[in-house]
Amino acid sequence: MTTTATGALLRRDGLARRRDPLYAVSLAFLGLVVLVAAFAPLLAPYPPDAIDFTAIWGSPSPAHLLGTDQLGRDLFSRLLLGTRESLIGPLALLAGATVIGVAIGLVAAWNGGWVDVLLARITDVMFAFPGLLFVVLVIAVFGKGPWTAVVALALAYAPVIAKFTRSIALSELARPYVDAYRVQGASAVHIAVRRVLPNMTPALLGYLVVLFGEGLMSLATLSYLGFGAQPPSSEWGLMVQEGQDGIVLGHFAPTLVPGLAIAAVVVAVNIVGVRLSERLGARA
Amino acid sequence: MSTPETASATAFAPAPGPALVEAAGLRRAFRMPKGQDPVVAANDVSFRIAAGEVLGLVGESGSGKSTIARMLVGLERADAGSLRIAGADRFAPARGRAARLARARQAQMVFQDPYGSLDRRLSVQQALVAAMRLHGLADREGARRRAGELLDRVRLTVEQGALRPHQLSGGQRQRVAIARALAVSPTLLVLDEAVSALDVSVQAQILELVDEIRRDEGIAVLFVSHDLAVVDEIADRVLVLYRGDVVEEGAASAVFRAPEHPYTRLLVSSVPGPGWDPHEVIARRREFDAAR
Ligand SMILES: Nc1ncnc2c1ncn2[C@@H]1O[C@H](COP(=O)(O)OP(=O)(O)OP(=O)(O)O)[C@@H](O)[C@H]1O
Ligand SMILES: [Mg+2]
Repeated sequence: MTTTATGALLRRDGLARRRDPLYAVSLAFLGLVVLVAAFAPLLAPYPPDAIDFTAIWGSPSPAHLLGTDQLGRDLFSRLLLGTRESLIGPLALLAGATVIGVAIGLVAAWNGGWVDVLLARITDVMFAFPGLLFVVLVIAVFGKGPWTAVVALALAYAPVIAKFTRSIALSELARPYVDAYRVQGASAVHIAVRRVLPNMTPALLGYLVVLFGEGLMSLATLSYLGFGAQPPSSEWGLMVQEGQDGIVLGHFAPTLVPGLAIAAVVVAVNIVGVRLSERLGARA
Repeated sequence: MSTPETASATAFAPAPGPALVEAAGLRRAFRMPKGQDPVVAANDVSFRIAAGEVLGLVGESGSGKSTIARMLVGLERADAGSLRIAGADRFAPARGRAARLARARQAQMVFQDPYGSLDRRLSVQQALVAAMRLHGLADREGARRRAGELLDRVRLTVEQGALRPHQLSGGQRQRVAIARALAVSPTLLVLDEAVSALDVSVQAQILELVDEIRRDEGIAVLFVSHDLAVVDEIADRVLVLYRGDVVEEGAASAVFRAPEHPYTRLLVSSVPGPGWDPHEVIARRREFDAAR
């Protein structure tokens, strides 16, 4: 009786684990997006910047699957090629912010002292200061462009990641295995980087995935505002902005298509990030 | 109280000659939030441990046992006093990797928490190999072979060596912790409440193992516990700590059967047994504190 009950429970748990369609679909969708980014030049029927003044604001047709924009450029090709810049930007921003943020967060947790105080001050200011304003300031100083936007956002995200890293590092460092490594004679750097950090990655990973989605949104917003990607790029945020003129003329696709692409990727990334946190967190 | 397997513990006579561990005048006070007096965890603690000897350290909660234990392995600093292990001054500044590793080989520790003191990411085998590789004691192949020997030493199977901590029982984890400590061939092994989280039969197995190791390896052992019965079984000599001071020291059999200091008498008579009355214990404790 008890064994069958337990068996049923285990089976149900197993089923619940496997049947997570939202997670599976999101993951598959993101996989597809990455594939598209990798093979975009082969998949796109037209060059993304091929102007055709005879086909301005064209409706979807066999020749132009999603229609054309204000310069007669093929929307479908622009969408596919835009995947690259739209993904690489947030990826680079996250990589930079993660390296800086995790390093600062670990040092702050390990040493306390002035690094910890400085981090607290910086994050206080960052949280009080509108993020977008900070980024616009950086861009005002260093000039606009896709990489300035990435660097500015990386600088804005680094303290956030540092603060999160610090909090999980503090609880990790309180575990006795860290003392055991000290007694073993391991150096502080060895313990922090080789031993403690890998134990923190499950907790970090889901958080970083969610931040990636946020970064994608922020970069697209900056491009939309004209601070990020510049024409003739087909970065999605820029595409939304350029397509806007069509709305009053009744041409919605040039805005809607890249807008939906951004939304779909961000939603999928968020779902994956949250589920990853739950799964990895439960295992740790 | 004592089992046949560990009867040898009390019969074992420490080798005469210079002590492996010499602690003199160890002192440590912890600063408290403003306005409060500092807590003196160790006031003036001195002791010696010979090769192959088990020194028991007993005392109530907060008496300073862990502070002393952590001092011996370099996890806690001393405000005053001296500490030598195998002749080496533990409090002299040690800069650099070689000095740090040499210190680690002088003293290793087994912690109370069998769940938290192992790195959950590493298998047993990996943890042992990592310890030896850190100390450059063997190449990868040699380390793997020696890990097998260590597993055997603490009575774990090769199959268990492939498991990660969450797949092991509390007793098995403490065996792993002991093997990890032995991996660097320490001079002194410190066990801080190492069997306190285990059930009685598992405790007996671990005690037997520790007894065997000190005999075969000739290492000095500091065995910290608040459990007098356990210390009586494993220790040759006992140090009784009361609020950071050693109030009694002697052969385990003498201290537990004929305690001299009133505090030791109180401790011994407070051990739960037939006719044990918690109210009486508390009342006697109050009387003792009032007399001090
Ligand atoms: N890092 C610290 N900061 C402040 N006070 C401390 C610290 N470590 C220990 N103490 C204090 O020192 C005293 C001795 O603590 P210690 O942990 O050595 O006792 P113990 O004998 O091991 O107790 P237990 O049997 O509960 O483990 C206690 O009053 C404790 O609160
Ligand atoms: Mg303690």
